[in-house]
Amino acid sequence: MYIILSFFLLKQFPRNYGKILNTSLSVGLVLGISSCTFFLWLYFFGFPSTSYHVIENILAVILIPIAFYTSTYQKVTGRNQETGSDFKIYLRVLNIAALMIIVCFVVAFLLRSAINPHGWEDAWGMWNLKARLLFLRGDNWRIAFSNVLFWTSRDYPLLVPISIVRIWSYLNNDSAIVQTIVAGLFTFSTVALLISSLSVIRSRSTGLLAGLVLVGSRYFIKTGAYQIADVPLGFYMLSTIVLFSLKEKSESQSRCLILAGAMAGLASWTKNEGVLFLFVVIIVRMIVISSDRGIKVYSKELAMFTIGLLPILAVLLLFKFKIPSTNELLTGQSMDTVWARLMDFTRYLLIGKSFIVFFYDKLAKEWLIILPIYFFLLGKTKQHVNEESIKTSFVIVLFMIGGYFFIYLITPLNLQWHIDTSIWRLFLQLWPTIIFSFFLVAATPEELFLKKRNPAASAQRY
Amino acid sequence: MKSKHLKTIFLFTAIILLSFHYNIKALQKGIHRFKRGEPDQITIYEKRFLALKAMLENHLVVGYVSDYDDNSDENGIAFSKAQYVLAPIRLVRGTKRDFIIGNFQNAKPNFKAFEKENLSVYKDFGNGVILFERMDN
Repeated sequence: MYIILSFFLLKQFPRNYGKILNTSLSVGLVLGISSCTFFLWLYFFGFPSTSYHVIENILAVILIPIAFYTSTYQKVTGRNQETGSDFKIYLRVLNIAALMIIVCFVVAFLLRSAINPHGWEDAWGMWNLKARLLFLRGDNWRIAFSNVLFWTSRDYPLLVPISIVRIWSYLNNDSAIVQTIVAGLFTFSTVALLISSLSVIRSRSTGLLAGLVLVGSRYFIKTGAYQIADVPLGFYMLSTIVLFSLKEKSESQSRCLILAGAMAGLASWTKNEGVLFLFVVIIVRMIVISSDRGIKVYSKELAMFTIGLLPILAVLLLFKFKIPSTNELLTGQSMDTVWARLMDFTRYLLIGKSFIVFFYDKLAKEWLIILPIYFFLLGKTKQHVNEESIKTSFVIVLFMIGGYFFIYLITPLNLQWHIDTSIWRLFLQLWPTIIFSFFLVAATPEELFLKKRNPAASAQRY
Repeated sequence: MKSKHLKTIFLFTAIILLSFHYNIKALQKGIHRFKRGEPDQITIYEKRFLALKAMLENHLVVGYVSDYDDNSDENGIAFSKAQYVLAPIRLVRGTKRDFIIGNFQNAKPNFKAFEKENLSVYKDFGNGVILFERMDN
């Protein structure tokens, strides 16, 4: 029901691929916002039961017709992809191949989930464990954050565990299939979002090719089925970047900015790395927009962004300040110890080497050969793609990698162990956004076959 | 054949084949493991700890001991699996509780080391799962 509601609220992108785009954004928005409302009820009134469910459903029933009548599909400006019949044959082959591969991907995901219905170490050691403690202790849910459970990263935000608990509260049991459903929703939505957003912003073949790169990345399916929060975080990061790019092409820019704020807020409500992402987004947009169009334009954008962000940020702050917990990376740190680590250049070498080795050798080895060839053959796009969107996505990725580098530099944990146990998850959070950024800037295959360019489109500033 | 056709065929083929390769491999691996029908680690733990969990239903916190090497990864994984299947009971490593759960790799472990710490076997559930009781409380 909430997915339907969000679908109408988001219904602003073109019909061709817009439905997939709206649905994938809706899934993330619904799971995220409902986890916020569930947490608020839990915090103020105790474990949500029938009354919560009744109110939630009444609100949805009231809002769906309102959303339906107030939403319309809008035009996306600046696309000109008239390619002729030659290319349509290639596109048909690509469609069929993509469909087959995505079916394999979905079945492989379901098999992995059936084999390991409770996920992987971090799932049963943290995310699903928190969900079980919250659900099974009911009104005594705060024991999930007791000192006894110091090893469960108690300060990590609750979007994923609460999304699971919320569905369990409807079912009235803690069936493991719910964990699989939540993991599946985020995994498949990430693929759908990448394909549909690039199809809308660039071209249909670009969207499909990007989707194939993502589902063909060795860690993606594994991590999705692991039921950990890194794929959901990657989804919210990608959503934010996509909405900034769509904003440049959409008639309703303020709506895109509000949604981008909400998605960035939900990233911070998913994992602590999401808080870093939120800061990075605000800073990067300030640099990009202010340097190009001045601080006034940025202030207006920030105001819209904050409207979407603020309610979710309030929930995050309530959790961070009212639920006592400690951060394993900050506890016991002093300026002297941090400074000593920053001055230890062997740490820089170790982290730098690990980043390169992991990114090249583990995550994207084959793609790091094929994608440069793609760029070499097709080059940078000659169509107008908003420069601010490109700068935003690339600089955010660079700042995030810099942020991760810095966190490794100052970590009080054993550095090698910390890198070995977390680096693949950090890069996987960014991988969908990296793929999106690449295809945003590279020429589309359609450009090779274009019949004519639309001068109005290429001259227009979005 | 024009270069635009060659470029398109090459790029589409490369991306499709590589993506197909990974997904077929993942699918084959999944089918193979699914056919073997081996239960996952958590399901095995749930079965091992089922009777013990029912017995400790009214306890909030219990102790935890094991025969895994103290600092090994296996030790941490075994502890978190036990914690997960026993939730909402919380586990605390060590013997400073009235009841202490023993999670042993060996189905017939040597209890003598624990008896020296004033623990007595309350019930042996088999498969290396033992409930100890503190004798000095």
